[in-house]
Amino acid sequence: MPDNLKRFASRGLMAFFILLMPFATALAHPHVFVDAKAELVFDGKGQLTSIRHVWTFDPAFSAFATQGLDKNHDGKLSADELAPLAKTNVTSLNRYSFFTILAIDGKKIPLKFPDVYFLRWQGNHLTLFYQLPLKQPIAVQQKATLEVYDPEYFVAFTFEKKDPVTLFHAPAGCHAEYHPPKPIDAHIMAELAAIPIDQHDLPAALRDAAVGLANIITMECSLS
Amino acid sequence: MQPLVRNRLSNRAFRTAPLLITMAVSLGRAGTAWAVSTPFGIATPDSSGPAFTGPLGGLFAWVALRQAEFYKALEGSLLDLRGSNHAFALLVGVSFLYGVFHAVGPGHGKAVITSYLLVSRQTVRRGMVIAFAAALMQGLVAIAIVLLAAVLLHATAVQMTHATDWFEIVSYSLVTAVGAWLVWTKLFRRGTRHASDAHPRHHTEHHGHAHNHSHPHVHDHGHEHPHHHRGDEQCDCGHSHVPDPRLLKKPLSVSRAWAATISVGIRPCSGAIIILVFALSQNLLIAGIGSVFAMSFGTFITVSALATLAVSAKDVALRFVGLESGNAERVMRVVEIGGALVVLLLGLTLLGGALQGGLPV
Repeated sequence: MPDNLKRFASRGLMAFFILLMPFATALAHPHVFVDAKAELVFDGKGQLTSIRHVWTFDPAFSAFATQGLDKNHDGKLSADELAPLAKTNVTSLNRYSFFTILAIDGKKIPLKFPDVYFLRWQGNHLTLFYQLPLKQPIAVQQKATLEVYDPEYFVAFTFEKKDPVTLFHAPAGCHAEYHPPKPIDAHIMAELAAIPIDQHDLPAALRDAAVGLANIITMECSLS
Repeated sequence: MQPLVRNRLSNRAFRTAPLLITMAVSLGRAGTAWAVSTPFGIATPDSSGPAFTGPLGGLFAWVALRQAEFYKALEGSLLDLRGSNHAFALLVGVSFLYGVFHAVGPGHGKAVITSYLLVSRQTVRRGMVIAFAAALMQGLVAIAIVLLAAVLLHATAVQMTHATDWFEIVSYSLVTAVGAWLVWTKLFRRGTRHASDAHPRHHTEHHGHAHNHSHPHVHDHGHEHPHHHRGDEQCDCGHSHVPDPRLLKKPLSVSRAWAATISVGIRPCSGAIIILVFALSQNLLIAGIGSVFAMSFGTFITVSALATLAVSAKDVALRFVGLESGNAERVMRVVEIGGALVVLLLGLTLLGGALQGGLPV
């Protein structure tokens, strides 16, 4: 084999190994399934003050999460028995920005650490309730967008069919709508496959659509 | 060390330096994304970083969605188990499929096993044995953790997560150790081969080499005719490139295979632990254990298929390059050094990621 071919072959092999590296990390896959509900809370003056999440976990994760928490062995999980876990949950979620992205009139709105949080056990499900206050209450002029999803797909979010989103004390003329994640289809896969290898940053919308992750809640207000 | 040997070593180190640096950089970039923490403070994710990017992103997204479906089906069939006896067959079937899909995507276990097989020039059959042992061990570790922690000690999810995080750290440390071991033998020990031609006393050091020289007859005869020993060794040195099947039983090679197997198998999957605790909460622990074994078998099927593919691909590539020429040897060496570095750097990166948040207490 000629020298340049040899060099080509060995370089090719090195490139192969280098390309292999990112694939050596595990494939993302969910171990937590959340059935969510969102509530947008306004003050009396037409300003959005906080977001309330109601997240119901799947039976397996619920069982795992509450393992060993029934301290008095009465077969029931009281609020007291669940309180430490609720604290662990929100403290950990903080590092993930609570999987919550809020934008009002095209601007991303910062959120504070939950001021209320607790867990409840019902049937064979655990449900986490918590309230995320906005750093600054703000009036929605035209449109608010709330995205809830885990880009790493360890948590698979879906919203409940009945009342996925509720408005509290919202100004008249505002209404909210829930847009479920789009299931992946052949068309999106083809679109993804067409993206050149060197383009590392996929358009966010395309990536989320491909994964079928993003739950989007939109609230539009028409000031009359 | 003889000057000639030192020259070879520094020359080799010099030639591989750019490769090392490139890999370190590419890993370092990925490393920050690999820092593992967990959204709810319990159950550590198997992966971290943006979910599905790159050319295969669409495919992986599809696999992940199927996997999520099988997981939900598994959960459902466990709940149905109380109602009917036929549900057990369904549970086992779904668990098996979950195991198959769980292993389809990328994962460090597959990277370690396939790299190890390539670097150590293992056979397909040996690869399947390692894949089987690793998958079985992964299931057994999950079962042992749940039996000990949940059944006996009534541990909480937080405590169990800490326990599995420790297993993860042990796993990644072992991956690093196996990688370092492979790099050491491939990069440096190899260089002493030529020196040992002149010094037969060094010969025994070579037993660990995948690229080993086989001379079982030396040992068979050695005890009967000790005075022939030295001469036999000399004539066998450095030219037999076909590994003797009996060599696979050599202690060093076997212990390295064990180390590779344990490094992968000791880290339990969060899914298996969650399903087991769930089964326990439903008083269906036995069914849960059956489910985990079915998962392990599914994982084995996929990993052994990938391992077979890797070993065959290497063989095809070698045939393409030409077995006759010295090129095959050179290409193999690049593959082996590359593979050994992959294992080492992967171990370091995973370990760094796992330790970034501090030790689990």
